[in-house]
Amino acid sequence: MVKLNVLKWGNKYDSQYVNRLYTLITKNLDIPFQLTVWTDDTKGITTEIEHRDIKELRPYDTERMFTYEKLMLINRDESEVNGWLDLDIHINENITELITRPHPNITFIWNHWNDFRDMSLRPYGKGSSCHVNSSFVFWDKGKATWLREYTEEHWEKIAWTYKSLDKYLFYQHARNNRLSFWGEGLFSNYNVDGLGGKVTLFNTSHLYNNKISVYKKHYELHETDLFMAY
Amino acid sequence: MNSTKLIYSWLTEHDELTFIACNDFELMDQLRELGIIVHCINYDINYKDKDDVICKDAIFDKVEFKGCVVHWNCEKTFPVGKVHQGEFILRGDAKGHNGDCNPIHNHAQLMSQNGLFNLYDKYHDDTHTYVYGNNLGADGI
Repeated sequence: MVKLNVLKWGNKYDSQYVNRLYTLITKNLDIPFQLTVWTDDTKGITTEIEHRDIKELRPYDTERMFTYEKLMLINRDESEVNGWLDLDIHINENITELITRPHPNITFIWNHWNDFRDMSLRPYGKGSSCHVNSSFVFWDKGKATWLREYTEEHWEKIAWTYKSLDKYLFYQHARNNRLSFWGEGLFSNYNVDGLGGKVTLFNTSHLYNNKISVYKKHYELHETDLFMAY
Repeated sequence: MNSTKLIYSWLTEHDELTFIACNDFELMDQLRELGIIVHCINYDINYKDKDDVICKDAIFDKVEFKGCVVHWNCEKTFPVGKVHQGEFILRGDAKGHNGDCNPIHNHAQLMSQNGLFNLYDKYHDDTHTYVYGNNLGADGI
C-alpha cells in the first residue's frame, strides 16, 4: 500500500483541486493507494479520500515557515512507500514507476527548468536562492527519519531563518548533499517551460508568500484548460 | 582600510578574528597584513574553492570560532550569540533585502538577540548598526 498525502488550508485552493487530483491519481497509478487530505475545511471533498485535521501537523505555533507541515508527515504511521503532492499539479503520464522505484532517501524535485548558475548560484550568498521544489516528494518507510529529526533538533534556527520549506531544504540539505532528486525531464513548470514530463507544476505560491512581483503573467492551474482535464 | 571608521579600531584590538558572512576580502587581507590571524566562515558555495574561506554555515554547521567573532551581516542569519559565547563585533542593516531574515534596526536589538549585555562600544553609520561586546555573563568573564 502506498500512502499519499495532500495539504489544503485557507482559501487559495478549493475542494475541486483535491477531487481532481484524486481522480488523476486513480487514472495514473496502477497500484493500490490511500490518499489523505490534511485540511481545515473538508467541505466538498470526496469521502473516498481520508480527511484529517491539518492542526495535527502543526506542533509549532508559527506561520513563519511556509508548508513546514509537510515534514510532520514523516514518521507518522508510515506505509512501505509514502509521499506528498501539492494540489496545484497536473499529472500528464502514468506515475507508477516513480512511486514504485526504490526511494532509499527522501526524494525532491530539482528545478531543472531554471538555470542554476543565474537563478541560484550567483545570488546564493544573499540567501534569496532556491532550486529545490517540494511539490512531489516520496520516501520509503524510515528513510526520511533523519530529516524529521534534524528539523526538530534545529527548529528554532530554521524557523528564524527560512520563510519556506523549500528554501530551508535548499540551503541546509541540498548544500550538504543530503537530499535525493528525481531525474531531469520528469517534471515541468507550466509557467516556465509549459507542459512536459510526467507531472507539471504551477509553482506560484512562493510568489504570493514572498510578495514577489513578476512582469510575466503566472497562471494558476484553474486558469488553464488542464484544470478540467481529468 | 578606511581607518576613520570606529569598527576598524575595534578589529585591530585583537590578535585573532573569525569573520562570518563577510565578502570584504580586501578588509580581511588588510587585517592579515597587520599580523592579525583572520578566519573567514561563509556559507556561500561560490567560495567553496577559495583557500582562505571555510565554506560552512556558521549557525547550522559544526565550526570553530576562534578569537573575537565578527558577524558582518547579522540581518542574514540567526543570532550567532545564541550558538557561541565570547567576544563579538556585530554589524547589521535594516535594508530588508530578499533573503534577509533578521533586519537590524538598532543596538538594543543586536544586544538582546545575542545576549551581548557587556557592551564595550556601539555606533551607527548611514547604513549599518554596530555593537562591540561580549556575552560571557554578568561580570564579562
